[in-house]
Amino acid sequence: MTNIKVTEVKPNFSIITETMPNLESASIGIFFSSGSRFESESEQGINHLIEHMLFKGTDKKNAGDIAKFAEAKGAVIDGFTTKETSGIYCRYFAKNLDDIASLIDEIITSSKFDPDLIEKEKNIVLNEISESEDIPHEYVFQMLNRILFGKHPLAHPISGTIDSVKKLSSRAVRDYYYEKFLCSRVCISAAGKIDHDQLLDKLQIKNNQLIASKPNSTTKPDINIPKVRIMKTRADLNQLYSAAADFTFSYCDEERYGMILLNNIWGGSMSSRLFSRVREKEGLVYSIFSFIDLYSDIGLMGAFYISDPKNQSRVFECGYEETVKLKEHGVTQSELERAINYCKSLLVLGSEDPMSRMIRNAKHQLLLNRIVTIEESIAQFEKYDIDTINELTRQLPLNYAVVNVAPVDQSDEIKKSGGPQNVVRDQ
Amino acid sequence: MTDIQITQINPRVTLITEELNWVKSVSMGIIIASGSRYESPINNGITHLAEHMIFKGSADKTGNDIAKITESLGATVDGFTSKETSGIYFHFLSEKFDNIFNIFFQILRNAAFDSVELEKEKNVVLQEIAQADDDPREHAYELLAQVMFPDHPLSFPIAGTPKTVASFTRDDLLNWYRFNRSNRRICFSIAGNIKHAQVLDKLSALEMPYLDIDYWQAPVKPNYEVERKLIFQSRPEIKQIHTLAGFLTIPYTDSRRYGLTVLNNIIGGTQSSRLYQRLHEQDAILHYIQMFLDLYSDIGIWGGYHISNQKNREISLRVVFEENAKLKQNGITKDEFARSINYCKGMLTLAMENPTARMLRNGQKYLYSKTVMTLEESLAMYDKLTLDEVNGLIELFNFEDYSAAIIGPITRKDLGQIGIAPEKIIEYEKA
Repeated sequence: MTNIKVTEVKPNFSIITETMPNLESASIGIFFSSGSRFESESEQGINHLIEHMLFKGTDKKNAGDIAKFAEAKGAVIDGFTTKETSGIYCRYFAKNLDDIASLIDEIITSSKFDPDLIEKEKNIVLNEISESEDIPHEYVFQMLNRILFGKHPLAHPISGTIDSVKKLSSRAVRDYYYEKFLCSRVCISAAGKIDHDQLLDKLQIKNNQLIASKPNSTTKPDINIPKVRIMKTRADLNQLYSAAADFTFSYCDEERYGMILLNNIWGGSMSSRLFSRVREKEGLVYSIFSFIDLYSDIGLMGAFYISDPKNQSRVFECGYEETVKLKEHGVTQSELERAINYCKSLLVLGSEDPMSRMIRNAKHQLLLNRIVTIEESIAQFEKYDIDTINELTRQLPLNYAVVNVAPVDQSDEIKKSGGPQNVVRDQ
Repeated sequence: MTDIQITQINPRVTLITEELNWVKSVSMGIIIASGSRYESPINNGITHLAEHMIFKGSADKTGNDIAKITESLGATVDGFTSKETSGIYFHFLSEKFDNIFNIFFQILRNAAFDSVELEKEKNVVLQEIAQADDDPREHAYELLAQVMFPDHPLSFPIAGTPKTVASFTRDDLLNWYRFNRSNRRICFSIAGNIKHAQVLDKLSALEMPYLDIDYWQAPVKPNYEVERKLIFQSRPEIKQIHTLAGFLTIPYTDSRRYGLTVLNNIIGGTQSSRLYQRLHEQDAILHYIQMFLDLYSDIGIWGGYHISNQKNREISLRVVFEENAKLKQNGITKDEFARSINYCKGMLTLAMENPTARMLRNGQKYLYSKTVMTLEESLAMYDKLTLDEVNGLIELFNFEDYSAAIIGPITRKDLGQIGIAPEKIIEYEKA
């Protein structure tokens, strides 16, 4: 009982629609298996810059025309770049399908990559990069990825570095688009009020020869990399920002459902161990949570908190104690049942709008090569019992890398809290 | 297709339901006409702390019990406090309606405000305040409110100050909570896969304590003639300068706000807008530029936010003045007008596909105006506008009168060209 239709245009190129009743709108996106993890050292930030350039002009429209065209239809059009996928998407009224499909066709097949405009846009991106470095929690997560993945491209910041972006030539950007971006695996995904055959009929892009002609290849990161701790001092801040993580399963492992449950129990919900101990019971922090970031062949699992710097040791001790307790004694039956109920419900509540369905289907298609229905995901959560979940609980990370930003240098306190002793100061 | 129904439960309490046929879920909230602008310098932050404390335990349940029960039912729970309204809401699958309804009223009616829990939660809120001030994007809004509404409760930080928060006792909170419950206008708003009658049945079974009046405490009016001022925070450790500038404008209750939204989008609210096209596309000097309208029941702020380096900050200011002059001289075009109307209608409709957005919109609208507008009625307000009408609103774009908050690697001497008298430039200092 599904409203999902898939057309394999050719190997590595599919078009998916999911019809949702009683809506007047739809969302459509074109997703490429291209992103920062496919970039060399010197290419860092090139996918992100390409995403920006896709809105800077085609053969027929300049940047202003593209924005005007979409706004006049009451549509939202935007781009995205992640480590493994990039693309553009649009939320629109179903009656405007023809115009939106032709706009997407036009952007993907005839973007100009004007060298002058690329130079201008580099300046915009440089501002964007330094802006995000100013925000302490964004810095913390970026640095955490850098130290965990080391020389592997998964370490690259998605927008690139100030240095790498400055050096990108307009020629390189254009070439990358035609030789790598466009040639990678592609999924066009739409959900909402949409007719599959009508969409196929409208999309000229399905005849494009370059699409999916040369999928990207990638290497696995080295998970035996020594774990380090980074301390950055920022005198203007009030609070300490700290994130720690280790490697875990990937998005393609069936165990990811178990990891979602475990994350929920560890620090992903209000009833979780970390939240109820450090925030509810001790009243030490406002923000504390655990997280999982899943890529196609590896994942990260970790925890993050923001605290008064003078409480750093206390927060760390409580969090560590809860983690050890969970790892050694496992989860309880009632915790597991609650997490299953909650995760199932979050999945359904979070899939009621066209945009999230559209993203979900595309992600499954590109990473797993197949569509997973909501019912199937629910069944995956339900199959866990206390023994199988506690297999995973024993793998909770205790050998982690850490990044701290705080108003005063706390290298000594960090060393006292155990774990790797090599604290590196980031100036 | 939606269906909005309203039942006046008593003179102060209103039930509003909106049935949506494309979702399986329900969003249910209680929204109250209470917020930081009803506070004093002594109890600033009490509404926000009370919202936190609702989740910290009732007569027979701890905070942890409440979290466990709601998660077991697959519900997400959230609260908000703003300057004029505050609320608590649940989002869940409709088959759990009865259970969620019961737990919702249990925690609201029996909130314990336990003193031990209160001391812990006060510390949690102090952390929340400290971290919000670390983020220039949040801090800039607090600073702008201070210069726009000097000495008026609209300038109060919603979460309070470290000093006021530390001072609150259990009695302070209980008194505040009881006063709000028995005196202020309350809206019980629900949107999603639900029938009005089903909710009314449950609600009618409850005893509703109330005073037999509609006590609408008109808030103290702000000063409409504020002196232009600039507040800045020098943070040499960051690279970019955050500039938030604004001037006073019409309130939310003024029907010209539809036209003003259309105009705001044309000037700097969208990617095709004049300022975005000029500063982001043409000159490529700003990554972020966004005009906004922040409207309250009796006044509003019209302003813009941009992030830049020092050189580009000065250029941007010049460009805004140039565009202001052009706008005043030539008005907006027919194309801009038509496009902006479609854009406003599109954004509103897309946003309203979500049951929580509907629930909050209905509840807050009702508290402000004692009426609810369907989405179709709101869309019709845009369709009714004429080009002349929107051009007539250009005189409200009083950018010359702007006050501003600036955070970044700057000192007083970088602010020479800002057009504000030096004695009106204040440096923010951490308490």
